[in-house]
Amino acid sequence: MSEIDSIQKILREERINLWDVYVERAEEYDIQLRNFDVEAVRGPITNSGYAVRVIKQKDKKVGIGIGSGNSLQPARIRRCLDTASTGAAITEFPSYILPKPAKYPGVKVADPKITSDAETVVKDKAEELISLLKRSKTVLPTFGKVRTYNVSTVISNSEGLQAEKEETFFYIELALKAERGSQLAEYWPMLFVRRVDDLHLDEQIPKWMKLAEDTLKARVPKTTKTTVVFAPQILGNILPNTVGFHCLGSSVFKGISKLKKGEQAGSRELTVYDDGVFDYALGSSAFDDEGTPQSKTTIIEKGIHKSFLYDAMYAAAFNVGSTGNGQKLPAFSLAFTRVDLRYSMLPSVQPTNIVVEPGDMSLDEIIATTKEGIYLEQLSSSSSDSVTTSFGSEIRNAYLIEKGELSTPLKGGQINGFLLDSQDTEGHRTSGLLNRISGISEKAQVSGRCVTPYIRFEGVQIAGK
Amino acid sequence: MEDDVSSEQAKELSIKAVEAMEKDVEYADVLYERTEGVSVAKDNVEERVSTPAAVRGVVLRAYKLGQWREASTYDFSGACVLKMARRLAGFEPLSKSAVKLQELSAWKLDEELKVKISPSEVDVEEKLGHVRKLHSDVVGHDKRIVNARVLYSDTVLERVFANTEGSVLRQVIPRTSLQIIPIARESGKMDYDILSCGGTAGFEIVKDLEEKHVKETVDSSISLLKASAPPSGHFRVILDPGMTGTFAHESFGHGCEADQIVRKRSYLVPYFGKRIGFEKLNICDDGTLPGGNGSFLFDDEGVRSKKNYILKSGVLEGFLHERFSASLMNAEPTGNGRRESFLRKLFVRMTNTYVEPGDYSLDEMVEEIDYGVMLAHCISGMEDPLAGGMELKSKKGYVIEKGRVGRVLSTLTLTESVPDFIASIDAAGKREQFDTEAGTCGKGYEDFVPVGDGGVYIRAKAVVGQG
Repeated sequence: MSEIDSIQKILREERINLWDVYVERAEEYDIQLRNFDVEAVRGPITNSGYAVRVIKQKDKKVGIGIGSGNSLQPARIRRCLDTASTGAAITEFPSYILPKPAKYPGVKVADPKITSDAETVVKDKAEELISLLKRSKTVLPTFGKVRTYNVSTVISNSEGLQAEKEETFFYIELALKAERGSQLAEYWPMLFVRRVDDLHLDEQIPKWMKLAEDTLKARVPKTTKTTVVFAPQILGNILPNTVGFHCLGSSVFKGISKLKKGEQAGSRELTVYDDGVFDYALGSSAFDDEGTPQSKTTIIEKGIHKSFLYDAMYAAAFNVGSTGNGQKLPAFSLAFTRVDLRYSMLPSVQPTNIVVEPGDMSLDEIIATTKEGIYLEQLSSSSSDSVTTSFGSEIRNAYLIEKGELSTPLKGGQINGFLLDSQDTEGHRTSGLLNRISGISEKAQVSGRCVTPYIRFEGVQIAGK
Repeated sequence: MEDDVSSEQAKELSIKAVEAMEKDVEYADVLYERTEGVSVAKDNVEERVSTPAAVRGVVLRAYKLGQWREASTYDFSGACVLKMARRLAGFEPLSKSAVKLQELSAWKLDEELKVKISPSEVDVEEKLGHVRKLHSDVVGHDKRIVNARVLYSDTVLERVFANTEGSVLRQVIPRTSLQIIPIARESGKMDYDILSCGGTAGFEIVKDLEEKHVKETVDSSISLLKASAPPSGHFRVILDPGMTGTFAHESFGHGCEADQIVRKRSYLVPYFGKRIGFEKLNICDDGTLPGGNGSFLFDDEGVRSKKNYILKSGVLEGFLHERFSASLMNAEPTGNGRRESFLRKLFVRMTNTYVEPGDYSLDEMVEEIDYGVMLAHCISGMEDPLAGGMELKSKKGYVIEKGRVGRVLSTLTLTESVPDFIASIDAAGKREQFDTEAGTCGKGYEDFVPVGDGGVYIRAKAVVGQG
């Protein structure tokens, strides 16, 4: 990319010695539906931006400054470098070592269909979506979005590192409405994947429509403690923000991690990895956003906590190797579709993909062996507190499980708990959900930056009427 | 704001782009945007100074036979923008309808929203100095504060708008925010509270911050170490002004966005013009609220911002519109057409949404409750515009027993059907309780815009559990 050359030229002119440059170019195509009509066709939507980090060694500390922008005017680049140089002069970090050139693993992150003709892919998928949606007379779409992203990235630094990649994303979101008299019910799915063929719309749409129709018959659950089976999409929201937070080198360094190496973190059935080289998963890449090779790290093995995750900064602080977890991620965990503005975000140590090792039961077996409980398909926000690992959310689409079978649909009320062990006001330890696993399905699904099977937990608090 | 593209150049090119499209389309507009800003963050280990908001770009939009076509680019050169405009003007709609956009009168504006202390007049070293001082104050208050995170951010957004009706507008909106999160730890238990302030304001929000508010947040974090788990069940509840605002915005306001009506995705349609709440309940969305985080002079399709009642005296009064929904529903645009950025689509979005004051003191609300829960310090909310469900989360709560506020509760979740919740509201607090907070709102899973929300204490009934 020409941006790298322009920025490097100015870095040399300014005699800046320690630096890295991140350049990203993104192109999107997007079609948005209102009911069965095309409301808007958008594209090309193009953005190209860069971030420059300047590193300054001080006596016992290091200063790091970052400037970013999307204008290639030399005056703007110089202003960006000024910001980065000022930041390096005035800030303090314990340590930092720029990654050196390395051999990168082979990881698949691009869909040739999107890289070759994204505009046609979006048009075709929108048509396929409308055609599949028109098959139902009882469930109707209220809105829909289909979008492709084609993103090219180059990272270089003053150690001679130069890494390049091209990756793709496909986003689909729609809301399906079922109506009977004055009753309304909805299923509101969203998928963000690497490849268009990962969508399987012909299989998904009938399943989503059934969820919308069943929710018409839903009732609010009773307040109780019961067995709950979580769908992968719910775990995909909760795990990165809780387990993913406490396994970070930064959380350990700051004294706020609940995990200790060699201690029990979950049930014996539970093995969790951070896998940055899982083909076509959202957080996968040959290298992280600092240029370090991504890798697979065992976080929890058979319930025991094994390893923490490091970026270049916390690897230097602990004098260990980086695990390739220097990630540019948005401040809002929900803003994951902002890959077109990734360049402007600060790299920090974050999980790549949280991968839960599958178990040995089918989902049907898990349901069949649950005497009484709840199957949970979708929550309202699935938001969780990273520090306390507490979570609570409104139930959107769920079913009661009675005598090993799905029965009455549920909506409303809420589910609550802690993922990791917590303490009450008297100092008594309360077992977290990860210590109350009683079944893991044999198949896993990609859900956000997570690859997880269905998991059954015991003794989960439900608040209802 | 200084840039290689001046405001006049931005206006000129926007007008030229509109002219390149006007003969071939029913309507077209151009929105140029530029943001500048500084973000300073500090905790016990890291200090980060960055310019995450240094972005500029342009989005061109054309309308023909009921369909929008748009394109965006970061390249604001005349050659690129005019080529894009010509290409856009020739589009063939994928589906056709007879919906005509209402014509609006052309108007002109060129105005910068003034603040007390412009962030651009404070150098980054001074900003970091204030952040360091706040951090040091927080961790110095009590040895149980094991870490503290202080986040300061300022942005200045410039938007230039031109359309085929002849409007040419420019506004500059500064926003500043500050967040302090003291993390307390004792005997293996960790928790925190959050102090958050901000809006269309300047550096004065940092300079004017009173020491007592910082100390209150530290004390609150420590008090959460001894907090009880909340009870689970259906109770009488009192919401503090921040929680009330999130209810007004997330739970109620999203169902009042007219694009949801047009999509047939709002549970509120049958309630239009009917009484759904008690006679002293008023909820409005107000893009003109001084200092409000969601305030601006015109929306992203050139409609002047205004105050709109969505619930007046308990009656569902109206919906919030952008131009298309207003055209389809034969209503007036309300100044609620907003984009996250030039890279994102325009939707109906709220601005500053709040519950207007009533006549109850907080003491009176509490005294009339035999057993209930007060929820304070909102941390999130989620909308359910079709089915009218609601989810609100608070960082803190209190048990109310026999008319008195009792023990502290840790993170709570409140859920309920919105119509049931509104019908159960029987008290709204007095004017002196009125407060608004700065936040960010997504339209579903994406498209985040700055908003404000707030109001007064309200009393209702809902399901409560751990958050």
